[in-house]
Amino acid sequence: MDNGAGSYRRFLDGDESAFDEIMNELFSSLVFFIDRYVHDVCAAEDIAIDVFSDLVVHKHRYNFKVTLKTYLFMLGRSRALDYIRHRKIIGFEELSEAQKQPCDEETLEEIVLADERKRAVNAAIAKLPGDMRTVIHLVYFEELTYDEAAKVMKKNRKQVDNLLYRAKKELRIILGEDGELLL
Amino acid sequence: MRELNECKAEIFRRSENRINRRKKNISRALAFCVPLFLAVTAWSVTLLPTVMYDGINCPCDTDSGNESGLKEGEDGFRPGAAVSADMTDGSEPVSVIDEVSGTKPSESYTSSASDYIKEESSSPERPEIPQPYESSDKPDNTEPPTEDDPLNNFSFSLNWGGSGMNYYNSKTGMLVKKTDSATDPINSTNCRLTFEQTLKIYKLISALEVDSYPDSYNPYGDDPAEFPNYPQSEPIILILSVSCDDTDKTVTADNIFENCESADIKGQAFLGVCKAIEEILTGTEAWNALP
Repeated sequence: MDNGAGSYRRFLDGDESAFDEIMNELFSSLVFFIDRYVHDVCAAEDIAIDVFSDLVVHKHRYNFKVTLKTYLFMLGRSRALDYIRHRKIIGFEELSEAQKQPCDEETLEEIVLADERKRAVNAAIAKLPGDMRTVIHLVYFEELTYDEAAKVMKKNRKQVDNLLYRAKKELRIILGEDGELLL
Repeated sequence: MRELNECKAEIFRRSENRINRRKKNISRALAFCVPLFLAVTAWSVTLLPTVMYDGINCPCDTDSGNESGLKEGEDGFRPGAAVSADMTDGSEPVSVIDEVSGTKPSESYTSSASDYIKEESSSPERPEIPQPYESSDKPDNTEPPTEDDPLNNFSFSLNWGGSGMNYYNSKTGMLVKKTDSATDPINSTNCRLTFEQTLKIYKLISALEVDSYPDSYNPYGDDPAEFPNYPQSEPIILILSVSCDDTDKTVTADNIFENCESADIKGQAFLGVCKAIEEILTGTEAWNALP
């Protein structure tokens, strides 16, 4: 599995259906990942759309040295952080969207996390600090390797390893005895 | 949450907008940069050489460019054109004779020559003088004369003085100071003028148009008694001989008086040129070495 790189190659060669494959494979995961940062599904979706439009506008910016999933998650993280920075300056929230958010999040969780075990862990992850939350998500939910997760988070492998160790330790505390079984 | 198809449509809509915006930005940048580049190029092509040329040929630098300071393309040997180009500062125009001799216009009969030149330049019936050089092959003052140089075939002699006669012959180089006779070797020496000095004299004589003068010439007119400022001082004699190519010409002027101007334009020019040559000769080291 090349995480969409082959499909993207076909899209560059003019096969438009290849883009659908990439969308089906990666879009929801990307929105879910971005939502971990922004805590706003609509904003996460908007950011994910921007990330995918980057793929269309700057067709040769992706150099195939990493998987397409890693590349998209790197872009997604970067844009999510920009969004958070921008939101801090603007500081507004629409009431209608705030009311809609829990419902959307549940829908997204149903799409991405079909596995019951993952759902339970996901609920515990929300209580973790920022970086730990991200590394658990990338390694256990998106099934990226440590190297890929390190690239997305702009850290080295050792830092990711340490973060993951501490995150699992925290999760065990949060999940209690059930956590041992889940992890 | 939007459907996946909606998201896909949104992705392509945004992509199209971004591509259009990028194209617009590029064309906007080009619309600004290309005329700017062309303007800068045109400016540098047209103005920069002029600026650099002005910098090299500074008007105050009389040694650079044209020796007489004349404008490009002008005839440097016409009396009418023999006015310096150094008039941009609003000062009085300086004639070639004044520049060459270094005398002030008010001095002696040189002022008459200057006036003559000024009047000649404004006169519509200015006589055409044969050109010793084409404008393209004017002599370069910084280089010695070559075999084809007209200065090689040019020589002159000038006698000036009253009771004692001063004399110089450029062909023999003999310079005589205040003797009774030009043949008397007492107080004489050999004097070779520099190329620059010879060229200055050549220009002066070329501008004078010596052929138009009679052999015996009176710059004060035919009837000296009628001349208004006719002085009662000791007269001097001027004998100017010019040899150029195969042409020889000698003009003798008797009864010339210091500080007495000629009313005639040609007379003013003749007296001015003789005075200028005299000053060049009396400024040489050889002259000063003579007792």
